[in-house]
Amino acid sequence: MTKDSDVDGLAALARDGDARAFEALVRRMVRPALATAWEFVPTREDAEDLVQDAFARAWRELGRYDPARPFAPWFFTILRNLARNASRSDRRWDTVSFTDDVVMDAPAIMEAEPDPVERMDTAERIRAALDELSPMQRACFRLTVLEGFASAEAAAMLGIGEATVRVHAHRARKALRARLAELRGETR
Amino acid sequence: MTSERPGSRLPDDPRYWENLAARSVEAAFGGAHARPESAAAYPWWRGLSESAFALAASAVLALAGGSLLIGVRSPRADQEPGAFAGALAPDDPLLRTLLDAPDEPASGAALLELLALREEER
Repeated sequence: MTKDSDVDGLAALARDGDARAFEALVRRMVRPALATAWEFVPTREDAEDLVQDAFARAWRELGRYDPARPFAPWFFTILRNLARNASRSDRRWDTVSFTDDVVMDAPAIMEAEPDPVERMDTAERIRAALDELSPMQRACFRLTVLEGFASAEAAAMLGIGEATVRVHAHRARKALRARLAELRGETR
Repeated sequence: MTSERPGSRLPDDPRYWENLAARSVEAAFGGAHARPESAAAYPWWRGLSESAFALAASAVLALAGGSLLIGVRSPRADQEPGAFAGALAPDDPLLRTLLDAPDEPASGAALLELLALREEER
């Protein structure tokens, strides 16, 4: 992601009405915005809608943004609030609950097959293992390990502390290691 | 961000991001509640024309380049959060990422922060 100083500088200009600065700001923020939105909604199309709504809301409410503070946490708060509001009217959206130790139900494929481990390919096993993580662990792991965002960036995106991100990512990796141990045994 | 990060479900195509950014800008500037000061600094028709140009350019490039845009939108990746686009080889880099990469140490301070967070949630 872009250096915060660049983002904050653009946000300050946009706040003063510089629409070109806002355009540049959107280009810098669109990728982390989609990554964050997709943690809250089931499909990429839903996440895209959420991203567009969040930028539209941010543009309208930039007058409330304090340029002395970082822009990213302010923007992602808007995005998360929109996700929560939308989830109340659309039951498909399984809004991430930012509490720890919430274990998701195993995916259907794990229950339907008598010997699912043998029948799943590698990608399916990994996906099933990810699905078994708590929403918080999954989000922290996916954003930092799979998508490559820094812990500080993921913290702003999720509205939690940077150290908390590291803890959840650490726990997620530990759980995944255990879940995928049989696969490692097969391949090495 | 490299385009070959294993396990990433975000599209690789830069044109996808340009397109999404253009749509987001259009959603902001084209809204009924556009900020008054923005109208003076940025005529409404300019945003529309540039966004339309970006969308048109993306469409032309997608047609010229075959199924590049379609390729990154596999139905499975779209519909299932966490789904990966294809099967992974046993020695896939993602497996090494999951199993072998060192963790950032979970320090005592980090654990204290997590405990504080839990307290707040209660």
